[in-house]
Amino acid sequence: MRRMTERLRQGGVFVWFSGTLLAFCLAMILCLVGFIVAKGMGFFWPTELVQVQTPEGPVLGEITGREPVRGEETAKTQFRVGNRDIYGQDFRWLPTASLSAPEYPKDALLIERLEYGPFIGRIVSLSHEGNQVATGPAAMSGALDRLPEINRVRRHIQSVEKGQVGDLNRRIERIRLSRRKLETRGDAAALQALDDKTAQLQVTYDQLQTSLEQSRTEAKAWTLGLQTVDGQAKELPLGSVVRIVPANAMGLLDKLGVYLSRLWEFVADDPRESNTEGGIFPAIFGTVMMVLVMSVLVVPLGVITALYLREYARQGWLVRAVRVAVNNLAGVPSIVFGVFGLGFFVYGVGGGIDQLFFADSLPTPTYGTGGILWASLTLALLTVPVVVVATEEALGAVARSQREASLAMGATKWQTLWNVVIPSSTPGILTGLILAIARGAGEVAPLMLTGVVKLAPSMPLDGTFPFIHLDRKFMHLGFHIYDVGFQSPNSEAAKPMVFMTAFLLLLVVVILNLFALNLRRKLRARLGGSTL
Amino acid sequence: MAKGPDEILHFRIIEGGGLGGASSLRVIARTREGLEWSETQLDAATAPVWKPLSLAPSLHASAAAWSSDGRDLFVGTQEGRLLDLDPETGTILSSSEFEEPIQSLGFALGQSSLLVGGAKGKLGAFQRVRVKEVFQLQAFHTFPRLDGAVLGFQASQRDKRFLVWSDREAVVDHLTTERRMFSTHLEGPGIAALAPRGDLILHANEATGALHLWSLDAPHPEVSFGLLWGKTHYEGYEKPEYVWQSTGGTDDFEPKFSLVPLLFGTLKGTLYAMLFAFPLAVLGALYTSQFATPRLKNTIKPTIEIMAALPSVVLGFLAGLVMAPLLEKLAVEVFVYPFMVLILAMVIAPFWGRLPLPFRNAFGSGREVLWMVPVLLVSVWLTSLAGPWLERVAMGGSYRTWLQTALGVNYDQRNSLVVGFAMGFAVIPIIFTISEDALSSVPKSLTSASLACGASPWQTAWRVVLPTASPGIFSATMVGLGRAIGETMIVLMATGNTPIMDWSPFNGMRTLSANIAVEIPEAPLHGTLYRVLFLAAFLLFILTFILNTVAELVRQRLRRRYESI
Repeated sequence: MRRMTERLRQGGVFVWFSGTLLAFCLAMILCLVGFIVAKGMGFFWPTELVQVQTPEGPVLGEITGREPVRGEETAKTQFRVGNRDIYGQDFRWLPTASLSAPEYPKDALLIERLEYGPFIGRIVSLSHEGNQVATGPAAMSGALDRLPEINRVRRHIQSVEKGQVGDLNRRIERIRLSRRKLETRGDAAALQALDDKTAQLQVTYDQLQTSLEQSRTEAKAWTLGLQTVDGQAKELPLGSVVRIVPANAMGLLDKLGVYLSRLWEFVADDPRESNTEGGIFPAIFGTVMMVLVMSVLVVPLGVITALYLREYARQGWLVRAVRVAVNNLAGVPSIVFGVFGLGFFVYGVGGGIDQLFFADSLPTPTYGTGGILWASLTLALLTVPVVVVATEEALGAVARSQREASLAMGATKWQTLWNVVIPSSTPGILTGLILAIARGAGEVAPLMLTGVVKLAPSMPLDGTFPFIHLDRKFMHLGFHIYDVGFQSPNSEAAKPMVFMTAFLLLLVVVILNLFALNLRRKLRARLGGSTL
Repeated sequence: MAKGPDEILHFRIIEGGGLGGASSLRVIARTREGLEWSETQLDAATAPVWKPLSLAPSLHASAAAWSSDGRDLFVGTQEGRLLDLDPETGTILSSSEFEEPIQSLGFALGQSSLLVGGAKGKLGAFQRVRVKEVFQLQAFHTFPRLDGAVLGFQASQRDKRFLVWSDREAVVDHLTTERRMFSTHLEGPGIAALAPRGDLILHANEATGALHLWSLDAPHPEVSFGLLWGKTHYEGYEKPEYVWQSTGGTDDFEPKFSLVPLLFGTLKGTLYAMLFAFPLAVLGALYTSQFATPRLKNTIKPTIEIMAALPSVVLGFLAGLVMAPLLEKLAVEVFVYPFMVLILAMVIAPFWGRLPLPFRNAFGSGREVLWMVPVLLVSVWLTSLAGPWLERVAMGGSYRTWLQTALGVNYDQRNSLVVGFAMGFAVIPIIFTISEDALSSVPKSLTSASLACGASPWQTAWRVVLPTASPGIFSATMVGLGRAIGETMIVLMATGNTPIMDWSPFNGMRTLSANIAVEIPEAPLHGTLYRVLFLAAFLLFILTFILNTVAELVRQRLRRRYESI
């Protein structure tokens, strides 16, 4: 007994205890990151299509989940059966006990299409303009042969619709606005000129529409006759097929090909089906663009503040108070920044700009509504303490001897700063910037108030004058996660997309952070000492 | 057969129910003998049929009003009683005491709050509300007295304010907040009216025929300090309560802007997060700074830094879509797990003690973390066996029914435990990093002295290092608190966002920050809701400002103390 109390007093047990807690923390982090990586990376790999017999009929699909026996609940298996247009839901839970032995039919297919999620079943026939051309395996190979060409046509249609047609629409809209201005002035000649211009544009517009219509009929000419596993037939134009994946008949290389093409689609394409399918290119683009604009705004602000605090200001209570304030700013909740951005930037400054420069398009706001500029400005405010602190630290790390040497050579204070101090503290400033970017890229709450949207019709950077549109709303990876995961009507089917987006965001943020922290660690090692 | 009325007290058009139902007019009037009422179809040109309504002989009706559906008749008497009658039978459904002869009756916007004015100027509001399964008349607001007998009411068509006047005074009060927004002196009896927007007041003097017009500028009548922070008795509620419900389906909705449930939600989320994060972070930091080998330390710190870098939206998404359903299935296991680890560690400990000391010193000290990882993993496996067993044996098969029957607690899928975990996850790295810095910077001379005096490493760490660095840990906790209070995305996704006030860990909540994120995009610019949300943001700002300033000051003092040692 006495030995026990002595042991307790010595406290070896507690060392173990605190070690356990730490181990738990570390395990949590690794589990979390590993979970996201596994879920995100695995999602694009073609899964085998399993066919089973149930009392209600045959079921064909991917197995997406299993639940063990628990209490009164029996063991269940979750199938992703697809065919939302026919079955009404993508997933089905079936009691495991009632299932027959699984089969892996070679002719089972997963067809990714533009609407209603994937089709899972078999190809029966291939028709051209209503005439059956092939049946059975020949139909499938025929479809596979024609798919690339038809996809090319579809892409062409999309790009024309988005690029040229959108461009024309914008030009007609601009003419309409200037017409409205002229009408109040009553300048007949100018009005006539504008009308001529509109007519010209209308002709180009009609031509475009005809060529588009032609492409559309071309895309619709080929149709697939499909059959689900329980015998329901379905006609599908080949033009709305994205990809045909005969998962059970594929080798490893083919699967890798599908994996890579899906990955590419995810990174480079626009979203489909209210963001639950397709790609997230606009979100990636929006995030990058917002972060870039933020960097442009935050670096001068942060660096100049730090320079003043460190190099020019007399160290007294005022500077101490400013430092406390900067530290405080770092602790202010991001949603508060969002509210500030909404009240000050969007409604205040933006509303003012609209009154002054965009009065003709009022009451439709131009800058008086959320936009990428306001979001970036808000985030710049949010991240400025990071840059200030890092820059101050970097400035402090510049060796005294260097400054003194420069000053002794007759350089002025500014020359010393500009030519000696700032160049040698660049890595520190860069560290601050990268940390700011990592923080900014992951922040969502303030963006929700200042300009992020679930689906932006146009990018903040495009080919129409003035090319950079800072007033436009944008999409964002973080918001995409929130929106697709929590606001989407079909969040179960969208889950993999969310995982993938989360993985991408995590990857970006963690890489940026590791990079910056490594840089900082090296700097500190050079400097030595505590950072408390 | 009644002869017809002397004075009409109140009439109301009752909209016909269903398809093609005809609207009807209900009138209540006073005769010398008592009350009479009639119902006439609006499109039929028939003379009204008056039906008598008898009250007890001790009661003399002085005012009457139909309820919004015409099924109830409210009658005020000279004896100061307010009655709720069934006009068909004449039975008194419920009654209430007003303590003053009732002079006039009126309704606020929505026709559910009955405004009552007395002959000596007393003003009150009553409602029919279900208390213990029975509808009762209940006095739920009182207003400052009026100078003279109350002559009439008129409700605003915009909000819950109303005009009320007597011979000598006209005032505008707000029903919910009981605020008096306007008051003016009158010269003699007359009739007054409130403009539809509630910004103009007109009074016509009966004796002189003089007209007076006043303008009223009261921009946010529905909010007062008491409404934001105190219990308020709302329409349809049994008693005064803290409620947040900013918008409703109808125009006559009474907005409920109590910040208390939101503040409560914020504090609750923060509390659960800190309960989870604080011990893990501080003890983890203590271990890292005092016991871990340098190599281990160099891998732990970057890992924690990665943890700090995780975007909160990712944490929130995991909490809401992965952890919440998982926890719902494995709630018992989660509670069993820590005990399982403890039991397993106690089983293993004696064996470890038997191992030769040189081995223990060479591989054990400083690497306890690594040894514990397999223990944690094995515990997961053991828990997966013990959890269902426990649920079957001790809780009768389903922990949810057990919670419901034994503790009377409901289990929400998105609850405080999930938030505690997820937000704790966000807070741990903050507390860890600052604490670790503080603990590592404790001067070596102190620890060396303690060890040299014969204290064990743990005694040194617990009795010397920890107290010395405690201001640093305090400041770390403050900063962590600040982060938890302001965290938005995690609570938005993992709490279910129901503004309820319940400390139960199995229920959700709505925090100030999530509330702003949910409601401000739809709040009309410069409207009351917009301003209240700004106030909520300001509150968050103040809270975190205080926490951060305290943390910073404490940290600066600690730095000076270290310098002086």
